[in-house]
Formats: sequence, structure tokens, C-alpha cells
Amino acid sequence: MPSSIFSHCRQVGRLRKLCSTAIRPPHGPVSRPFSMTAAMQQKPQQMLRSQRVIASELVQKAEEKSEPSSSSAASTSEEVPMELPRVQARRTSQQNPADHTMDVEGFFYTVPPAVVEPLFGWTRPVSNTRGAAGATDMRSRTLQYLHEQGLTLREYALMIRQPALEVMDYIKKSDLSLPAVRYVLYGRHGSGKTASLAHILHFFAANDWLIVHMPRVTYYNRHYKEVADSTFHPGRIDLPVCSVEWLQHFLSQNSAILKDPSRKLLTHKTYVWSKREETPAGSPLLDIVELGIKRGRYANDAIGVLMRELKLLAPETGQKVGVVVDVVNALFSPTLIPRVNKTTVPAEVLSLYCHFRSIVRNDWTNGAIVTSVDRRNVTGEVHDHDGGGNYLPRYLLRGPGWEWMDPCIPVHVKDYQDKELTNCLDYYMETRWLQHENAGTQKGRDELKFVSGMNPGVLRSLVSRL
Amino acid sequence: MLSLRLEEQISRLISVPGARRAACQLWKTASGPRSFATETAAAGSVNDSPKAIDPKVKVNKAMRAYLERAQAHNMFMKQQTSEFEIGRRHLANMMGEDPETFTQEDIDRSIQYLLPSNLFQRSSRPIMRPPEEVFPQQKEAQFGLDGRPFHPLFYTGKPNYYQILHDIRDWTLQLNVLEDERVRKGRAPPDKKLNLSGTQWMTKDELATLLVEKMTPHMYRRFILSMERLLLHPYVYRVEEFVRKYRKALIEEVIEIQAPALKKDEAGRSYTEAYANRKTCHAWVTLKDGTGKVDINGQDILFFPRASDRLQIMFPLQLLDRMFQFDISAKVEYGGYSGKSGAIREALTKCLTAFVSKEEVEILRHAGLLTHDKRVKERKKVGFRGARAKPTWRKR
Repeated sequence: MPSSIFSHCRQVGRLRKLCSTAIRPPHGPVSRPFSMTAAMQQKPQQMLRSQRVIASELVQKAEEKSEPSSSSAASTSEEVPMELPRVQARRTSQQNPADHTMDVEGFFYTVPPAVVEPLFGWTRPVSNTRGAAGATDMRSRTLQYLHEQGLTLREYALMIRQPALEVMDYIKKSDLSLPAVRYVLYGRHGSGKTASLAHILHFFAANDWLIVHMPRVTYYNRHYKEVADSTFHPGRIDLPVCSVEWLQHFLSQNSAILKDPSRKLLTHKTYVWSKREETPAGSPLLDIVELGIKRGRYANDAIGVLMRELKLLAPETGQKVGVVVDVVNALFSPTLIPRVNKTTVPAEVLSLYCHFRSIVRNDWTNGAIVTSVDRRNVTGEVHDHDGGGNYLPRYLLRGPGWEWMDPCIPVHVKDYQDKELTNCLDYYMETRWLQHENAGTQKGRDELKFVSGMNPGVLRSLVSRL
Repeated sequence: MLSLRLEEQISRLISVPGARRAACQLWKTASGPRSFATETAAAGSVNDSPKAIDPKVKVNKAMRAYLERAQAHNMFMKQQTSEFEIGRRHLANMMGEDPETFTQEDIDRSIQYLLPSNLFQRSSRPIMRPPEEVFPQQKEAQFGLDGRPFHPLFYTGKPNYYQILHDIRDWTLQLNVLEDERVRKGRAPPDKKLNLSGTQWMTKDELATLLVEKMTPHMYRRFILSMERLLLHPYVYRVEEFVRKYRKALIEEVIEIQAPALKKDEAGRSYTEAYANRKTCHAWVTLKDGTGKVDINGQDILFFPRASDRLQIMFPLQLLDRMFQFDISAKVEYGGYSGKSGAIREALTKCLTAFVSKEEVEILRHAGLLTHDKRVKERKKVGFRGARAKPTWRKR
């Protein structure tokens, strides 16, 4: 007997209620739970039809009266309180990435809030970073999802994963007196290359390394802001505004080291910027940076000077220099910056790229170069006829890039393992980022596992809606 | 004398028992529901051929018009029938078969052979069917020779429909009386219950055909509501016959599903292979005992950028709680992502039937996973923007 028909008709529905619950026991399952006074439910009386009309009216009145009291009873039977199981993600309290070992692989650790802002450059509220003004600020694009997540969860937790541990282990064990070793993180989209770089970045910061960090090179394809011809090197093209932003980022990351006179980070020669402006030899490196920030016209040249001086200073002063470049292959593929003759600027002409190319070269010592290669937004031939998913460094760097970067240590960033996935979901549940009622069940987790394909990025985008 | 002759004439003209009885019977008021099964059946069609009316007999104008109409109809039908018969025999000769044993199936087959049509609409294709099926049936005379309608509800316009509603009401009243009587005698309420499982109410169209009356959705809803209300009565089992008249048995579909053969590979793992298509896409799937690895054209599940497509592939396995028990490898060609995922899903389900029990196959079938999705893109029409979309209308 289809009971849903009754749900449409108010009158019949009421009749059904009266017939089924008040007077006689119900014939079948009642579609909606129906609250009734206790006395009526205990003793179903038999009455004549003529009496029933009056009885039904009485019942109706009783219903109206008892509505407030009975509603609570109905709610207890009807509503199932949603109870998410309390889970605790596995975390480690070691906040220095140098202490992380394979024992805590797959665990979360919290980046101290004091470090977060200068290190990752999240200086603006998230609402601004989405808008036109903030989005074009390169400082806001280091692992932006973590920033957004951090604003909600009030903590910046990173998962300790094998590729970052591997790179850090290599760096710790390597002989820094030899030419700088280059590491190339590769993996498919969303596998955690940038997150691993963030982990390594924190490793550098926490262990007194001077950081040269380029968040994401492909950013300049779109947000180039201002384009000017280079005065120092005719034929090259400068990005003054972007260079100033990068110098600010560099300063915020390294202000403690740059402002420390005992480090003796002093220039080697006199740099003449114009007829009136010059930086004499032996002046602190901070002067170069500040000049670049103040005089946007020379910002690009200041970056060039900075790179040159760092290469010299690193072995001389013993100041270790950690270079982190995200999407290094974009340094070797053409940009989208238009020129007057309607062509685009090739990578080797953009002076900013040239300076970063020079720092990822292994012609200096006492440093480490950690880079990643990615497919997204990289222009050029990369996307043509490649079968859809080749993310290997040799392929993405192409000929000139590979020549430049060879030799390097490729590090594969894989998708999640089972324990990492479990811990990640635990973390999302613990922080209530994931609130679906099936999130705690095996079936729900299996579904997430299958649909995400164990890919961290895909999992995050799936979970963000649940 | 006259009345006798009239009676005779009526009986000769309208020789349907129900109609005659209805003509003779008086309207019984509230004395219990009348059985009108014969009446509704009687209202079916004009079976007999009314002969020409004796001009001496006084006949109501409406009746005369009806009789003339019926006569013309019968003549027409007779002619059509004979033409059909000739055509049938002729067709049999054309096809080189025996005209005596040439059945309707043979006709259909021959027509399909002689006049092949690729029109999409089945009803637009050429047919050759008996005239009774082609031409709509006509309603029986509703009034006597004196012009008075037989049925008291004639002027409602839908006498048969309203008759049912009246009957429901009458039965309810009778059952109420019965119940009161039992209560007075102190009897317990009955244990008997009307078991209507395996049946369902007639559909609107079925009911309309039975009653030979047009039926609006509102009327049908009202009928169902009234019937359902009657079913709530504890003594409804007493009117089972009445209720069952408007219910139809659910036909149980028994479909034998051919599971693909279970094979063994070199490592001794069992596997199956199946093919399916959807839209313009073709998929070949191999399902093997394993740990949940997915390989679609050499990529993993993220071959599909949309989560909805990935869910399609997961669903059959999730439904049977067998996720991460099989390795899926698929080759898909042509089409887009949704076509690809749909084709893989179907082929995967076919593969899965070889691994699971009969009950689980039944679950898959009920979930619609074993039903081929035959929908394809509708073609674009000339002069239109798309299949249905029209260009923007502009006032000149």
C-alpha cells in the first residue's frame, strides 16, 4: 500500500492519523511519526462510528493542546543526532624539520605562527588575495591553500612526507664545500611538490640558511604588471614592480641574517647605478636589497647583483644559501609577456629569469638548490602531443633546460600512501574541515580513497565540499 | 401492443445484455452498490448491426441519429474487414505463403520486408492491422428509444466514473454498519486482512479504457484517494472482489543475465572480460582479482578529470561492498568523458556478474546497472539552433 500518496492530502492525512493511531492500531507503517497523548496510546478504545466523529474532534483538540509538550517527544524519535567520531590525527611536536625522520613520516607538524608570515609571505587577508589587488601579489602564492586553511583552522600544519625528508636528508649529509647540488622534485599535479618545497623552505629557515625563494615562476606569465627595457643590459626586459615585490619577499624571509653585522655579508665591488647613485665595495648586502626596493628602476639589476654576491659570499663567509624555485622549467620556456612587435618575450631575454637561471647553476658552493618541475601553465611545446600526463623532469625541462640543470637529483613526489591518506582524513576530521556524517565510516573513506585516486590535491578539493 | 413492439425492437437493436438490463432496471438508491461490471463491459463497443428502423415506430430523434450513426459505422467496419481480409490473402500470395495460415505476425514481417522504414517513430512506420485495432471503438447507446438515458448519472458526463465513486461510498457505509453491529455484539476486530501484494492500481489510461471515458489526472487522483481510503477500513476484505477489479497484477520480469566466462591468467588469478558502449564510446574492460588498481588507457582513475565520472566507475563495486577487491583495466575509445565512464561502468558490471552470487546480480540489476543506456545525442535539425532550440524570433 503506497503511503506516500497520503502525504499530499491534508485532510486524508489527518483522517489517516486519527484512524491509525487514535482509534485503531495502524494497518501498516505510518509515513510520519505521530505524537499522541499517552493515555490515548495506552488504551485503544472501540467506539461506534457515530461516536467516533465526536471522539475525533476531541482528539484533535487534545492534539492542539499537547503540541508543545509532544513535540519534544517526537523530535527524540525522529531526529538522529549527528555524531562525528572524535579522531586524533597523528602529529609530532618536533617543530624543526631537521629533527624529522622517517619515524614520523605521514605525521603532521605545525609550522610556528611566528615563522609563517615572514617565511611564506602571507601578509594579506585571504579576501584580498582572491581579488585583483591581492592575487597579483606574488607573496601570497606560496602554498595558498594552506594559508586559507590556516585562516580557518588557526594553525599551519604540514604533513611530513617522504620526498621532503629525502631531500633534507641529502642536504644534511652532503658536503657543502662541493658545488651546490640540485634537486628536482617532480610528480603529477596535486601530488604535493609545492608542499614539500614549503617543508624544505622551513627546514632552511629553521637551520640558519639564507633563503632565495622563488614561489612560482609561471606567475609572471600573467601578472607581469609593468614591463621596461633594461638599462644595464640592452635587449633585455625588466619587470620592475615584480622585482621589487620579490626583493621585499627576500627581505622578509632573511631580515634577521641580513641585519646581522657579524655575518659579514658585504659586497665585493662598487656598483654604479647611475651618475649619482652607487654602492661602494664593502657595503652590506642589505643596502643592495633596500636600494632595489626603494628604486624600482634598479630592482632587476639589484637582484642580479644579489645573486652574484651570494654566489661569492656563500663559500667565503660560510653562510649557507638555500635556493628554492617552484616550477623551474618555466625559466626555460617562453613567457606570455607581449612585446611591441606582437611577439612574446622569450625566457632568455627576461632579466629576472636570467638572474634565477644563474642561481640555479651549480657554479658555486656552500648551498643547496631545491626545485620542482610542473606542467601547469607552462607555455611552449610542453603540452603538445605528450599523451596527457608526462611529468618527468627530462621531458618538462626540454633541451636547453635539461642542459642547464644537468646534473641534478630527481626526487619523485608520489601520491598518498594508505597511512598518509588515513592520517590526512583524520586531520580533516579532527579540525572539522571534513564534516560529512560518513567521513568516519570505512565505506565513506573507501569512497574518498577511490574517487581521489589517492592524489592529495584531488582529495583536498573533494573534501573541501564535504 | 405498442410497448411490446418497442421492447422487441430495442432488444433487436441493442442486444447487449448489460445495456438492456440497465434499461429495464430502476435506479436502486443506497441499497448497496450495484454490480456494474457488465455495464462497463457493455459500454465497450457496438457489436451488433442495428437494422433499419421501421419508420412507423415512433423513435426519439437522438436515438434515431444514434442508430443511423451506428449503422454507418458498422457498414464501414464491415467493408474495412473484408478489405483487410482480401489484402491479407493477397499479401500471403505475394510472399508465396499459404493464405489460410497467414497470421498477423506474418503480415507484420512481410510489411517490414516490403516497405522497410527507418523512421524513428514506430507509430509512423507502415502497418497493416485489423480494422478493429485501427479505428477507435464507439460507445454504446446511452438512452432508450424514448430519449431517456439509462444511467442515472448520465448527465454528469462521466457516468461510469462517478458510478465507481458512488460505489466506494456505498460500500463504506455498508461496512460501517457491519462494524457497528460487531462492536455492539462485543466482537473483536477482524484478523483478516486484504492482501493486495503483487498488484497495483490500474493506471490512468487503463482505467480510462475500461470505462470508455476520458480521464483527467485529477479524476484519477480522486479515484485512487477514495480507494485507498476504503482500504483503511478493517472490514475491507469483504469487498475484495470490488477492489481487485481495479488492480492489475505486477508482471515479474525474469531476465536471464549471461555472465561472461571466468578465466584464469598465468598467475592463477581469475578474470573476466566484457565490452560495452555508450553514446559513441566503446569500452573493453578486464576485471581481475586484485587490490583495487585502476588502469584506464594506461592512466589511473584520474584519467577522468570530473569526480562524477569517477563515481560512475566506483558505484557497482561500492554497491556490492567489493571495493579494492578487483583490479580494473579498461580500454576506451571515442566519445567524451561521460560516455567513457558510462561504457566502462556497464562493462565493469557485466564483468562483475561472473564473480558474484545470484542475489548480488539481482541487486545490480535493480540498481539499473545492467540496463544498457541506449540514449544518444539527438540530431541537429535544419533551421534550428540545435536539436530543439529555435533561433531567436524577431519581429520584422
